[in-house]
Amino acid sequence: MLKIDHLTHYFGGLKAVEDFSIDIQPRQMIGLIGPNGAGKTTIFNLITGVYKPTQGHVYFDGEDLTGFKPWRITQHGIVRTFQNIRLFSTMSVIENIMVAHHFRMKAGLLASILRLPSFIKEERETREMAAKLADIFGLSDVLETPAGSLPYGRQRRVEIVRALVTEPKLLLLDEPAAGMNPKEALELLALIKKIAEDFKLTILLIEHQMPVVMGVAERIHVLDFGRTIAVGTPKEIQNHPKVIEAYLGEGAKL
Amino acid sequence: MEVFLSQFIFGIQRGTIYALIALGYTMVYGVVRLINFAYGEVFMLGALFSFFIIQLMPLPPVLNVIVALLVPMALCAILGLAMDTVAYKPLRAKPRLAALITAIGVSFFLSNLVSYIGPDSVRTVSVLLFATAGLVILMTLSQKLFNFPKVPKSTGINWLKRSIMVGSLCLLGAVAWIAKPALALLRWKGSSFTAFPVDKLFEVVKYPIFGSVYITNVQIVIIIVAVVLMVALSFLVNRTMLGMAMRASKNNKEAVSLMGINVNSVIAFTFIIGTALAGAAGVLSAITYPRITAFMGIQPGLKAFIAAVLGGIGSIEGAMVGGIIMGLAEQFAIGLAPSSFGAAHIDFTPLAEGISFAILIVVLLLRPQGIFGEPPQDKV
Amino acid sequence: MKKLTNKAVLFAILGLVVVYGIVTILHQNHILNDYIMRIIILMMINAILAVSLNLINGFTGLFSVGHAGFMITGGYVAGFITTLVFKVTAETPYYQALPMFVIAILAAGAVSALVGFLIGLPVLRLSDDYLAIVTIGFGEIIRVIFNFISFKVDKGGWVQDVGGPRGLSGIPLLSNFTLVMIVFVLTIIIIRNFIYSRHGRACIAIRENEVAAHLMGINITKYKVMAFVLGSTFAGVAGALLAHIIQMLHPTMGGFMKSVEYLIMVYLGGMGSISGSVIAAFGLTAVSEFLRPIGELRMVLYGVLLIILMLKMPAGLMGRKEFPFLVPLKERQIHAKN
Ligand SMILES: Nc1ncnc2c1ncn2[C@@H]1O[C@H](COP(=O)(O)OP(=O)(O)OP(=O)(O)O)[C@@H](O)[C@H]1O
Ligand SMILES: [Mg+2]
Repeated sequence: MLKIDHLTHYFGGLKAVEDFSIDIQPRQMIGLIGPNGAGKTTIFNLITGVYKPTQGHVYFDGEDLTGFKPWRITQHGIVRTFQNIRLFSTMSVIENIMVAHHFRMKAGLLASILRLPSFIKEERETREMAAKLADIFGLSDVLETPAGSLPYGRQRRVEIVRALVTEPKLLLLDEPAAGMNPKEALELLALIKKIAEDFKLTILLIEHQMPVVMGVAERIHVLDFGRTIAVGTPKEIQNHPKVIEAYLGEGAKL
Repeated sequence: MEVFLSQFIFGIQRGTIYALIALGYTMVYGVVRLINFAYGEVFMLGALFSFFIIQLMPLPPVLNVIVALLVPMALCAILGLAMDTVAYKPLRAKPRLAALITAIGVSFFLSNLVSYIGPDSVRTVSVLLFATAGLVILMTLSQKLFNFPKVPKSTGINWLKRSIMVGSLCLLGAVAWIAKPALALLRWKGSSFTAFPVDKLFEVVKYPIFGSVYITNVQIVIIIVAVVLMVALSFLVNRTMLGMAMRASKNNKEAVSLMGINVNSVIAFTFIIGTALAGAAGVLSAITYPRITAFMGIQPGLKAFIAAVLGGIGSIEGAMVGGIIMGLAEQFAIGLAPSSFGAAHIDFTPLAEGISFAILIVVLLLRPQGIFGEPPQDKV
Repeated sequence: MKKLTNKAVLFAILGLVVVYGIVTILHQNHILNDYIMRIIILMMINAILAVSLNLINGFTGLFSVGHAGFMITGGYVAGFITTLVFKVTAETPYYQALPMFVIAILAAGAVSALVGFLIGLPVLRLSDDYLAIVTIGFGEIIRVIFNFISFKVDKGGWVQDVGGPRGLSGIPLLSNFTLVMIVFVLTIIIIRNFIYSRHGRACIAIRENEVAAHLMGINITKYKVMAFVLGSTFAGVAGALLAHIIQMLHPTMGGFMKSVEYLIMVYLGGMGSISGSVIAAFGLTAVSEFLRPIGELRMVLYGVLLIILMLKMPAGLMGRKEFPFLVPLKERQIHAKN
């Protein structure tokens, strides 16, 4: 479903991503790991159209999405969360979620301005749907709180719900459990896994905490300095000499 | 050919003036990413200060030219420092838009203040300044004695800052009170502009260079002064510690401050240099188009900004090249636009004035980063 | 719960009717003279301008400094239509002139919208500073263009120049209290309903975090242009009304200085608050009429006001708060909880 061919990206002279290829089938959950600055977030930025790759292509459902604007890529069914949280901080949680449903809604300008019954109905349905999803992630009590005033952990959850209401096929999660302790992280990932099943989602997950990603991903790609140094099942990765070497420099989290 | 050549000379002259102002825009933007809209007003004040110096201080020739240029530059530099300290520095940590709006406020304030001040009204301004000083004293006392309006104990009152504030308000008030006779020289209420006394500086001499084309000693002086200033600036930016700090601040403020350099002083210096150059541009411009008004800075300010965008905002060479191109383009458009067209007698000269804005739009469409700029990329 | 909506809006409607009635009666009994009526009308016109600028600068987070340019465009378009096309004069009966004026107002809005679109489309793809400078430049282009456009009109035997640097004078007095109030109320309703729809939410999301909005599937250029065009349209409409109350236009009225006055209204009232813009526009218009004796000092004070606002009071008077009737019920519950 997502196929990336020889993706390369330079920042000036810095090779952030080099010759990255991946093939993801529907309903898979794939992990992407690597030490700091390995190029993981950059790959997300390339898939979602924030940057245009220096070389290589991104195909989704057989269509070449390389060079598309971010909003079009999202409308094709790829959506992401952000490592450094990017919520609409002064908007309430429910509004944050509703914004992301924007392009699925139909009310035209005129219907909105006249507040026609069709508009009112759609708004109500969207609001209810958003509230229901927020409830799954334990956000019911803060629906009307400005998103920026929540603690980090809950902001990350809002980001996930916001991504889900775009009704994606492929969900890109950039360190969704950052800042959580291993127990919370595992809980969140279990929840994500369940959601993925319920919504028939495909997931590409960046995660720093190895045990977390080991528990959920069926295949893991390991990056270091922009290059893919290993691909395999969690078991294979765990014992891969290159991976151990790359992570040893970082204090061997394994 | 002759027409072309004389337009070319005028164009270069016009362009050097734009370039000088554009340098201020570009340097400040390079370091703090702020468009300091008030350069046009600094330009106007440069011309105004020069006017007063020439009128009030009869000096021997040559010396008068130097004084009439350098003193306004120094005064404008002080103004630039004051502008940064009062209006922009407190907003460094705020969204960029806030400082941009303040800059517009400063520009609006200065031009309207100058337009308002005249022999009849200056004493009102003086009274207002004293009243503000009084208000500050009253507020300070009420804070000290009754803690009203409530200030957190930890903030306290910065006595030094308050004293400086009251002191400078009173000083300005006193200056405004005394300035009445001097302001009588300004007569733009009646005739909408005041003539700049060029004749007290130069006796205009024309040197023929080609056929009927002349270059005047005034033009030569303007071009030489502008070139000297630009060379001095290049030296400052490329060869001195201060210049190095400036260029480094552009890329990485944290690293610069880690190296023990005070970023705020670097920014302040950038303002000082930029405003001094804009002041010089004002003087040079007043010598060529000897009419000064309170709003004379708006147009050159805008056009210089466009020149900076054209050259690539943030780039010093860009500002110089952009300024010259703008000056030439404008001079040729105005000089060569048909003043009557066919039988309809449509005068196109008013439209020629808009050429700079047409340039702006074309640049933004084709190459928004300008000639020397790099395309921006923001981090996600 | 449904009742609550009706209550706030009902009170607002009732309030409007009462105010309208009282003002009309007082005017008819000459307690409010024409000068005061004129100020009231100007207050409402300025409120239209401030609210529509707030849609651009406050709600969508863009930074336009060219609102007066759109205003004057609308003014000229409407002025040319009533004076040159329909040849309305002071003698034309109002019932005949009114439909022509309505056409002129609509045309003014349409032309301003078109101009806004042509400027917005290329520029809104660039970063925010560029919009500021282009809109300032636009005010200047407008001045250049209206300096250039002039007509020779045959006035029964003698030829008169219309337009050009002299400006446009002799515009018939067609903006009256009723008409301006209707337009004012409609503007508020339209902009309020726009903001509380998926479209308005998209605009606010762009203000809050452009990258995130983009990545949530919002075509940010489209919405920036939409907000900009909608704002320009109302500016054009307001310009048409203004032209027919002050009865003359001058090319310089579209410039930077005038635009800054509207900016001040928006920032004084609070970025992202319709109520704030209305309050500030009413307040500043009234105050500046009373400050007329001190003349240009007013402009000096405006400059100081803008600086102080940014330094000491960045949220303005109202922050993002609204009068209850300007917020639909669901959203009002959210506001109430915060
Ligand atoms: N916009 C940019 N401009 C220049 N360099 C960049 C930019 N974005 C990322 N980089 C560089 O590219 C490299 C890869 O960065 P990236 O953010 O993709 O790493 P990462 O694997 O996500 O790391 P982390 O685990 O810290 O999130 C780093 O060296 C980073 O400094
Ligand atoms: Mg990352």
